[in-house]
Amino acid sequence: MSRWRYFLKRVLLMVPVTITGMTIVFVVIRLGPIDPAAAIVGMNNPEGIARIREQLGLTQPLWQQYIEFMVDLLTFDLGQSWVIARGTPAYDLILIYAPRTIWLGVWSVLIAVVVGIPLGFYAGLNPNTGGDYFASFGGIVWRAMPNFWLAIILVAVLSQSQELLGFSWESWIVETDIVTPPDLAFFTEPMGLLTNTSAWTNELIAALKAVAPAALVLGSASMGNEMRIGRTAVLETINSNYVETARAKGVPERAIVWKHVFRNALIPLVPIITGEAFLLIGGSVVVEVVFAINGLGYLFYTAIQNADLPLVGSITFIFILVLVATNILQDFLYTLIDPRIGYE
Amino acid sequence: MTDDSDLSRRRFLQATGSTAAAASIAGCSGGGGNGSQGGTDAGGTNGSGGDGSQRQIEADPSKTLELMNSSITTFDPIAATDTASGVVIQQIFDGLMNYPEANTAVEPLLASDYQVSEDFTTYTFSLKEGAQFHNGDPVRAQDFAYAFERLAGSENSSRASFILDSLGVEAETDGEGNYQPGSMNVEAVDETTLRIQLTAPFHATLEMLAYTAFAAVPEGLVGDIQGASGEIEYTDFSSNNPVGAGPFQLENWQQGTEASVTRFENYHGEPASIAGVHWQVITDSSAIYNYAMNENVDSLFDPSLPLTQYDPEKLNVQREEGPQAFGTYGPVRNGATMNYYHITPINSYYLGFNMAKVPKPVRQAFAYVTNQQLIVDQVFKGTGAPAYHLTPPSIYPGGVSAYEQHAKNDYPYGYNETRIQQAKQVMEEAGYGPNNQFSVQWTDYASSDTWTQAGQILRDQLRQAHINMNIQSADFSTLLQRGRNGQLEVYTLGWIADWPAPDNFLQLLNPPQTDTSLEAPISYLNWSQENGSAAQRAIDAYETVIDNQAPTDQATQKRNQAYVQIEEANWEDVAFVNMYHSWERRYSYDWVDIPPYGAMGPSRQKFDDVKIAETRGGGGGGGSGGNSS
Repeated sequence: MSRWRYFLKRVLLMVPVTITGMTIVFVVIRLGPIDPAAAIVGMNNPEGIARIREQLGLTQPLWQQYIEFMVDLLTFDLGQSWVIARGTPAYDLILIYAPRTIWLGVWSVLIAVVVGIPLGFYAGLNPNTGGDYFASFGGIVWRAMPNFWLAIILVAVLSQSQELLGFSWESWIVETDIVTPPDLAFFTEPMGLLTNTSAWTNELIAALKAVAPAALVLGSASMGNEMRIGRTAVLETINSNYVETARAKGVPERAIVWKHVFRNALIPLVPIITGEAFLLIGGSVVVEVVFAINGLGYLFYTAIQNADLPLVGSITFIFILVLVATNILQDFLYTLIDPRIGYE
Repeated sequence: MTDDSDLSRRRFLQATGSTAAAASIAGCSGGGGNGSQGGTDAGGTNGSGGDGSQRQIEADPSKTLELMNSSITTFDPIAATDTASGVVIQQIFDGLMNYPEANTAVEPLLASDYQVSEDFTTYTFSLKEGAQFHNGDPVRAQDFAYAFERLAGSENSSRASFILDSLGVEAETDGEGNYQPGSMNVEAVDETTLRIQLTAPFHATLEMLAYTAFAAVPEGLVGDIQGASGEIEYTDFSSNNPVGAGPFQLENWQQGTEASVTRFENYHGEPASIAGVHWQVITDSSAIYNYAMNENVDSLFDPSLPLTQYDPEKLNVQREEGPQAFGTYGPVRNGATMNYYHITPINSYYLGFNMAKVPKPVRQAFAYVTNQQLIVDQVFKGTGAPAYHLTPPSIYPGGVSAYEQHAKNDYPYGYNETRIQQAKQVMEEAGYGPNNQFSVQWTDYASSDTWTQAGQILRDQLRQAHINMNIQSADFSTLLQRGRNGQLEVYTLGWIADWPAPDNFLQLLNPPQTDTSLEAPISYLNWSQENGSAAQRAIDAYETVIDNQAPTDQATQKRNQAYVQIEEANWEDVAFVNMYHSWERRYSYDWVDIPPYGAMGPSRQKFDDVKIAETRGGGGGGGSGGNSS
């Protein structure tokens, strides 16, 4: 099977996955206990509910609502929010909330990859030394700290950084708030980098600093994970027969580590890292909320709570697309790292 | 209702409207006395600031008020049902009438004068001359007629029942009861005269017109009703360009992030004393607390305020006036001592019973074991007043003292005490015992665990009275849905007034409206002759209220008697166990002076009379006050 046929097959498989996913969303929201009309009207003037139901089209037969919902989504007509921002296109809402989550997600995945994997490899290459114990123990503790707890502690410490740490986090390097979303407006003007370099980089640094604590928290769990798995993977490969053979042949130690050990040790890490890619879109509701970043995860959560069907549907739709896409990417990465893996 | 700022809860707050307060009583004694009522001199001139601070603030009109809010959904006054949006809309839009600084005694705002016909069904308003919208158009009677038509007929309206049912403006409906577009009897007689024809007298007409849903919008601006040309797109109006005639105009809104308004220089009244207001959207209680402790806001208002961070020991109330209290709170984490203010506004929280499922002895046992003061102190950290009537004290017939006296003398289930013995007795007389327990399901709303705690206290006490209670939480809209379907047994809810009068509350105790087999029951009691001996008394009394809707002293007196009868019928049959009236609290740093809001609560206050000092900060050791604007 050629790469392209394989790719086509995966893309075609997306269709049933998407349809099933969207059907579940529809069933859960529309047959579940939450009434969007009640969420809009609240408790006073119950007479209003009948009017709102009519306006939202909730009085039509369920199968008709289902077909409309599916046709709209599959033709990329994402519709308008019902409750969260009544009348606003779901697309606009996602465009506002998603960049923050992606920005936060990128950094949390990067922190995990850049810190976790090298530490794990170091520990694996120097097993049972002081450094290994330190890194392994640190990894376990770091991983054991729950996100929500770490987030709250970090916010509290940074808020009082003047007394506790001796410097003010808020005014350190650039002035930023500790909670509140990063300002990503500078991304819309990439030319600013050339025309107004200092202001542009300042904004970049401010946006980075604004998400840094949240990214650290969000990355912490996966950082520990990657460290532990990296260590095991290195230990496994370094004691394998072909490494011994290479050593016997007189291959230099540096080449053994980089060419033979490193590449093979990456294999178990690939699904872990791509799995984290979900952070990019879903984020973590808990961490986002504690740092008041109000990203896509938060939007999704409040949309579900209020039975905002078009919004929940649109976000889920995008989640499914992104997840399926990362799965395909993961398969491709596998074949790059390990030529033994084919498409049969 | 205090703790977490969950969207649905907020929605509930507003849904429930918004409200009201101490009717004329608070309006005069509480309000006027300390200068909260008036216009520009509310704050400093009498030596004590609006917050009761001793400091005289040199106001700097170039400052922007920094506040927090939860997620705003829209700026369209007829679409908004949540408090977060309502707070901003209140700044942008003006109506005919207004609650000045949220006091219950309404005053004309865009109206200059009004006449009422002898049968109290025709209201004729004269409009103020020279008032302008933010886009420069003059405010004319036609603009109100257009705005009212949108309220009744636009598909974007969430509040059509306000004008069609509550206010009862004359209009035609089709066979299914749907409003016929253009049929409403509201007429712009000329550019400055507006005539409104009601089907029947309604005593709170003027109060109802102070609701932002009735605010003026330039005629034909949005094309969502028949005959309107639609100069701008609907979403443009609802999110970017809400054109009103209020003291501030929208500058910027980033959904889920922040919103800001700036002073409208051509305002028909005195232009605002500050440059604008900025709201940062934060919903998590610990983030709210940290943001406030870093001095990023000038003032912290109630719904956003986390109860978990509240320490009653730090509160120092210096003076109380009627339902209002002034004092200080602190030192807070950053070392500052904040100015404190609260009012007991027009709201009520209660336990409701589905009377078809929960027999009377069980309901009475609940009432006996409930010690309202204890629940308020232990669960709500004392941030409210215990409730014995559904009608809040400030609008209770005869006022706060009549409320107290009636409760103290006549409340049959123990005023501020737990009567487990009586609860046991009433259950045993009905045949229950250790081997024949009654099982009941308690459902509270999930946004905060305070009601669950209250449930646990009651559950432990009720066990001795042979009642086995199971506690469960549900999201707000789920709770309502199940209530409407008649699936609840014992539930907790609250009510905030749409207009400041007892009938807005007591409609919940009008037995025919509580039948969950109806399409739109207003409460979920199923109160009838079969499950309560006092049901007929409540029905009769409510009919008296309906039959005496005229805004005259005589009718008011008849209504007042009927209100008390309904409260007593409720005591007799225990449809609701009233629990508490929640305070609306506010904490402000020293450099800001906001007039105290009246009993309609902070969401009804316009910030055009706020004073902010030239320099902020200096509150204490903490952050450096990163106010950007």
